[in-house]
Amino acid sequence: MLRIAIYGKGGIGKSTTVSNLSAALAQRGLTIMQIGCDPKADSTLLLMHGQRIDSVLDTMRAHGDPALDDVVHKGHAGVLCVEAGGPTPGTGCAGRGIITAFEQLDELNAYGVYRPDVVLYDVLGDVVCGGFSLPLRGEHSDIVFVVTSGEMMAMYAASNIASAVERFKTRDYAQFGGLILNKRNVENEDEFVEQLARELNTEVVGTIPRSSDIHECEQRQCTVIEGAPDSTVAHAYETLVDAMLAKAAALGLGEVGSR
Amino acid sequence: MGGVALSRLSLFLPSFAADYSGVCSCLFDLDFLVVMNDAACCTRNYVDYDEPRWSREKVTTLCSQLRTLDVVMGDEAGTIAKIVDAARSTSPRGIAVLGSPVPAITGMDTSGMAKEVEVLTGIPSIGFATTGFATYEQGIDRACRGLLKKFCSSPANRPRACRPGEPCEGDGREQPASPAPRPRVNVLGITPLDFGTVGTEHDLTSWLQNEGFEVGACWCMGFSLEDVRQTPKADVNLVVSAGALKAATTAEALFGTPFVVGLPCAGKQAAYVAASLRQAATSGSSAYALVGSESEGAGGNAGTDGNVGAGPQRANESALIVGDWVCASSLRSALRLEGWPGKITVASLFGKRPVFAGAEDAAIACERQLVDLVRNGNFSSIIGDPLLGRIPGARASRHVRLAHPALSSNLFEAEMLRYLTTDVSKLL
Repeated sequence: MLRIAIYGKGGIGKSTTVSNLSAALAQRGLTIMQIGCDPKADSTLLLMHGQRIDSVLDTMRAHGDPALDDVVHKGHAGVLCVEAGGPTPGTGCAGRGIITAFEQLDELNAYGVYRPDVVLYDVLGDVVCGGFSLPLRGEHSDIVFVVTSGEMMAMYAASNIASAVERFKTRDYAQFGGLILNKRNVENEDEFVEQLARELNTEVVGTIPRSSDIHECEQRQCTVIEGAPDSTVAHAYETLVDAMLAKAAALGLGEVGSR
Repeated sequence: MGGVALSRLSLFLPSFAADYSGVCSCLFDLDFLVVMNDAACCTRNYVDYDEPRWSREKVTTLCSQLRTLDVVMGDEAGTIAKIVDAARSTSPRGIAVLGSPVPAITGMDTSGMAKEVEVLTGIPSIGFATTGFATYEQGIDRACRGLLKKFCSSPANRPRACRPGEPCEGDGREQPASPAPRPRVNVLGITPLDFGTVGTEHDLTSWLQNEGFEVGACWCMGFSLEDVRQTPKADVNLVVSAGALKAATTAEALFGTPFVVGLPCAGKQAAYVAASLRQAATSGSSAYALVGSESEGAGGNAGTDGNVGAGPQRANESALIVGDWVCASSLRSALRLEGWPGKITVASLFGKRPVFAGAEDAAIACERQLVDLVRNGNFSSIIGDPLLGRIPGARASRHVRLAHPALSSNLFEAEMLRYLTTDVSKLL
């Protein structure tokens, strides 16, 4: 089992990227679990064709002690979709929400029951507190990638996340896999992100071109892997999957297909 | 305030020993530096109320004395520095980093901190994500499994205990005709939080020796780190409290050691446990040495003499035993084997229903459920902690006082039951 955490600045396109990665991996015959770690609980919308699923936290609040079937929903290509959920905006503690949801998934033995080949965590924004660093911890993730564009704030967030991984190196946290460039077509974007990768002593593992196909598929509430499989951008996601798996293999991390 | 919140209110019972106290109790004998990440109150719960050995023996405990800004700013480095200083001055054999409610809320990474501490000190360190929201048996569980994973490795070609004259599994060697082999048994799950400090651990080890077993590690009273390391060498693990159930299954998965669940009580229950241990040691199959979980009274349960005042008038009686799942179920098993004919229900305030629970046994999530159970159950007798006498409706039943320190601390030490030296047939 390979566990991948995807971080990045809010609005950078993490959920779209992660959903397309999940779909691409699932279409290769692998069992994939995607866990959204955002109080908005909208990470898996494209895989669920627009249907909102009950989050772990909402289910816990409603039922106290939920069953695994209550919180794990099968989406496109059989991807196992989970939303951690979180408090109403402006209240509660979103970080603690992630911790509680992860504890519940452990309690329910989610990985033992579904035995996914790959788990993808789609984590909100920056590593702002202990709760949002949880997916980085070694007991949850093997490798972390950061989605960024060439925009300054996105790169700043990417740098912060890379710093957090570096800071916790002695704690056996997930290893830093590299940057994913989700292009916004800003000037000199490739050069900026390549420069950032060099400064962080890492690499750009893949580039997703800006494409109207993504927007059109989102309107149809599906991934481009499903809705536009022959598009350039779908091929880019496939290439990205290959690169991410190769990176994980090069680091000697959880072999895909091993259970 | 909504009804859900009020349903968790305790009006008659005190707060229970928390998970961090379970971890501390498990580690007490092992010369660990125990670090409580708290403002000081959880540390005081542990040393003042939950751990009776604290006042009698010297054990190193460090309270990190968290303050608001430490938590808000996530100052784990400051706490790590304190731990390293304390470790250098006390030279413990291990270090445990525990959480408490506030660090749990902010996501303090106790395991990560322990890894850093281990790198800095060279001393084996374990982090426990205790929260104070969970009860003690979950702490015992965390500690037992943490120790197993940290200090135990699977023994190569561990020979299975075998009968004289039979080839032993694993190495094909022939066992000499005499002397008879002594299966090695670890005891898992004995702490003062369930058994007090009245000597039950000594009763258990003496009983095992008298039954012809070699005693391995006695988790978690009267053992050392070396005993922990030798744990995989046992032929069978004996689980005497619910806190050790997962540790037993972990040991079975990691080392292939079968387990028997059941606390030996004086009389037939002890004989039943001993026979189950021998069977498990030779067969390699785990077992539950518990009878009587059926919903109706056994009455003529096979193999019982019916000498507990059994008679038609007693068959209509019913008893409720409230306590740790394994202890209470073992007591029921003992009463049943000794022939008590009435219906016996087990209830526990600690942990989920185990697989060996009977259909009418109850995992009590809050005091309100216990009140309802007592009111609606019409039990002729209630066996449980003296504080259960405060529960409305309990006075209608005969109360057999059996102290449970996780509930009542050391208030009733004199009313601890020594299961192996007490004639349980006289309880009801």
